[in-house]
Amino acid sequence: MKNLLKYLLLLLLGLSAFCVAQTQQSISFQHMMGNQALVLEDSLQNSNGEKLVVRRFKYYISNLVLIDEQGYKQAYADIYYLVNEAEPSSKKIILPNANKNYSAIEFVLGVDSARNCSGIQTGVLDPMQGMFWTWNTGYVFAKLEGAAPSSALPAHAFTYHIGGFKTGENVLKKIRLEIPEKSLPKDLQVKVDINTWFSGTNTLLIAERPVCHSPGALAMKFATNYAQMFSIIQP
Amino acid sequence: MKKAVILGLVAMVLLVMISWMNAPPKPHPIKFPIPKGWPQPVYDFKSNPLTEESFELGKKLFYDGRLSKDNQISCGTCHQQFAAFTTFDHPLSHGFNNQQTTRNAPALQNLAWQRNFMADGGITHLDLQPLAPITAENEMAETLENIIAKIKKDKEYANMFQAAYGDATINTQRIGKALSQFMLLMISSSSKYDKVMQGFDSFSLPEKLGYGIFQQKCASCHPAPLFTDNQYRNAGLSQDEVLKDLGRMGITNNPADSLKFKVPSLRNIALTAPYGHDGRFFALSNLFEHYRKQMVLGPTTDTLFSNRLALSNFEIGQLKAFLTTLTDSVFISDPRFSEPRMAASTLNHGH
Repeated sequence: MKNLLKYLLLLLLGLSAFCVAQTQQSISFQHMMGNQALVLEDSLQNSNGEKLVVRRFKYYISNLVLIDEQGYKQAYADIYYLVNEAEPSSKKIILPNANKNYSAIEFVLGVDSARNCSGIQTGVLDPMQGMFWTWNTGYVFAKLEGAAPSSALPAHAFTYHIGGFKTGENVLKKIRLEIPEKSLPKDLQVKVDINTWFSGTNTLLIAERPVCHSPGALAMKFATNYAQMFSIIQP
Repeated sequence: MKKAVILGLVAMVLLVMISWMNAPPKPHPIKFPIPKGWPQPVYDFKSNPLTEESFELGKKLFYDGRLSKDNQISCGTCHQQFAAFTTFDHPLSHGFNNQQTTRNAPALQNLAWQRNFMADGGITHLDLQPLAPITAENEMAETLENIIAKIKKDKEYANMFQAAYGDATINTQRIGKALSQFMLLMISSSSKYDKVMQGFDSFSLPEKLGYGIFQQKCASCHPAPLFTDNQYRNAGLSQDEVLKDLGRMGITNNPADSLKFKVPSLRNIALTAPYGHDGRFFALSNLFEHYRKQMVLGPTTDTLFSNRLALSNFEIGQLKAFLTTLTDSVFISDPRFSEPRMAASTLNHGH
């Protein structure tokens, strides 16, 4: 009996040591308009000179991978994150079983076609999250809604729901960020610049394009732009 | 030491027994019946194994008005069994707040053999299909959050979700899967046509002549046994000025798909008038007149119709006789799919 207890104690000690060795890293997304922090309903201005307020800003991140210099990959394959400006906790992604020796981070902005095609999902992929087109099956990968004086829509609204996974309208974007000094900080700060939606490869004026509600050419233009919205903030 | 071991063993045996006694009863599996000579279904049953309990849950959901904003419109409101689960006598159905839908409700049958849903094929999985009418402002106009909140208050649902899934959690996925189970078993394969093919019955002369004409002039787009090829085709229906429905092009953005709609199954066609994606044809006669005289031949009209469809009055008469043999009276009166009688407690509810 005494021996048994001894073994149990040893096992417990071993387990706790194992736990301590595993560090936990995280990524925090800071939503900005240029150099100004995004505050929902606050007046902002984009680099096209259009004034606007943002009411909703949400996007999916998936297939996250940490890569070290030797090319070793720590993958978070089946985890989907819905980053939502309105939910502060969603803006911090926890990376279990990660250490700091990574030189790059890769992820997909959107939801891969497999999950688009296999029926109703749960959790952050539940269609209830308001990031799903019921009439034309598929996830909205990124959503930006608000109002701008230049929009001619009722209440000067603009609504951008960007998605599309089929050939010819695919807006899944693979993002790669190089980690400074090849050392992943405990809480990596990533700037997410909403201004890129409107300027970049394509100049998109709210006045001309206040709505994007389906996959296709316009969604692809927005996605090409916003693929540039992530950058690592130097510690 | 020995005593401890024995005590431990006894405790373990007891624990196993208790957990066995407390284990919830397993759902009763249903084997999906594939009618003789039919192709394999395309629905992935492995992801949603059929059980009596899920089927019953799906049936309750299908006929539950609480899935709509005003608690009045259920799936069964626009998909009536006696009309082969389309809306009887309505070109377009009625939705929340006296609104009309923009398309003719399709008959629900043999859905396990369909890959895409809706007249434009925009929905790619049966489980996802109900979410469109449920959330559409002009149909049931309800949110998934509200539905879950409403049905959570119903003790009977808690029991049914428990029985179907092993715990009482209610989420979108479970609702969708249960509705699928109910709809997957809506198989129409017991018409006179089927009985004739199986050798248990025989066609009358007009039916037989009609069958010959059908095979010659209709079967390339409406092949047996499903009586649809599930493709999208422009059958020469001009665009309605109000609805401005582009059909398949609304999904693919491809101009080559303009005005193309899914070829509907002809099973139970005698019960599903009016016809066409917007219900513009009130009767079979209108449909035949369209095919032989009124088709608009545009750039995307199916090449099979480059000379429209020549049909004599005689042929139309025989075709009608044949098409009536596709009526499945077993299916439309099968109590498994019938609206459950309202319990007395529910009836007394709204005074």
